[in-house]
Amino acid sequence: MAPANRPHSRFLLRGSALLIVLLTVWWLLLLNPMLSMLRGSVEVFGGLLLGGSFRPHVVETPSGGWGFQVHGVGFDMPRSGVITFSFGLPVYWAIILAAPGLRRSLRPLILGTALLAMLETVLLLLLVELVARNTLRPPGGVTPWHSQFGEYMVVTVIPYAAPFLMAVSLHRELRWQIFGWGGAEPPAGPAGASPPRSKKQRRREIGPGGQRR
Amino acid sequence: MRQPRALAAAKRPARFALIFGGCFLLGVGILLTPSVHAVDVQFSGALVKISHGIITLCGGTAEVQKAVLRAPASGFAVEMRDGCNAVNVMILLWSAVLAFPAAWRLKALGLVAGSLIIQALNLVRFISLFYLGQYSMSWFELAHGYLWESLLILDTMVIFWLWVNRVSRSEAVRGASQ
Repeated sequence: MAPANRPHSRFLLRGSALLIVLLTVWWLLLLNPMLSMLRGSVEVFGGLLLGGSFRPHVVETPSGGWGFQVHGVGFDMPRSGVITFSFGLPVYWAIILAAPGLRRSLRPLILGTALLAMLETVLLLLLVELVARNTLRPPGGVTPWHSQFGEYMVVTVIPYAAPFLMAVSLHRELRWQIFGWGGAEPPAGPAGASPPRSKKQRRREIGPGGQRR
Repeated sequence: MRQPRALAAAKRPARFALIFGGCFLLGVGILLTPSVHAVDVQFSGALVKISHGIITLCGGTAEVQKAVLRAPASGFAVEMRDGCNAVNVMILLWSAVLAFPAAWRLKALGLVAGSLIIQALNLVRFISLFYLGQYSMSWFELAHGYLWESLLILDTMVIFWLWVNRVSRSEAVRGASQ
């Protein structure tokens, strides 16, 4: 069977190609502008989320990392650590553009981009808070399990999984194709068929008086 | 008023999200407990040995020391650490499979087959990174930190999709035979 007849094969091929292209473009061209925007949003929202203890100024270190000042503690975060909070957007764009129905992808694309940008800012601020608390701990003290868990989730899990989970949550047609749960109704046709897109369209398909056209 | 079947269908996504989230947090939590973490480290070591075996079988040269794979000629070494052994991606798949309504036999099939495919892909990832790192550190950083990780999650998503198709087909056959 040709990939065109298999929505999952088409999605995998398009998604892989788009991930390679968009992440390369991000790495070569978009990384610095996106880090500048992240830095701006961290400076603006840092005070709101972390309270008055957050000094709303991020200093760039000579090695490209970021220096923070929280709870009276100053510490540097390496550039590689900061980059983790800017790569979710190209991944999200790749998934949404690989999903079926390019025109119907516009709304989830815009909404998801805004939500993911906010999430990445919040995650970076959470990490700053966790690192500050760990720095305040007496030397030689054991890091509690919940702190390890929080840091693992914020650094290793959420930035990687969030673009995919958000794409499935926001893209109705992709969700329908995977689960068969686009709306409240289970799929009637074979896997990969187009879902009923809206209540209006379903009404039009069924027709007045409940007769299917 | 909604029919009970329609109501149950409407509740399905919420139920899935709840069980998926719970299983995922529980899985990551268990992974970080000291005893499981020790097993996880041993598992990483085993994967590095398998990668070394594949490289040697294909005529390449590499040295292995615990979870570190080293190229004798260039001196480049790569270590399989937490998050590099694809266990967290497996937890993602397990959570989705466990949360989806299906027969336990099909769930077991999804867990085992999915985990094997993910680990096979992860071996390809690790070996490719071993060679890429000897060529360019900048491209290694991109591939290691972001590209391969995203590709692996994309593959996991498609594995889950294929499994759901299999579950739907199997339920359709069961429904037709009843």
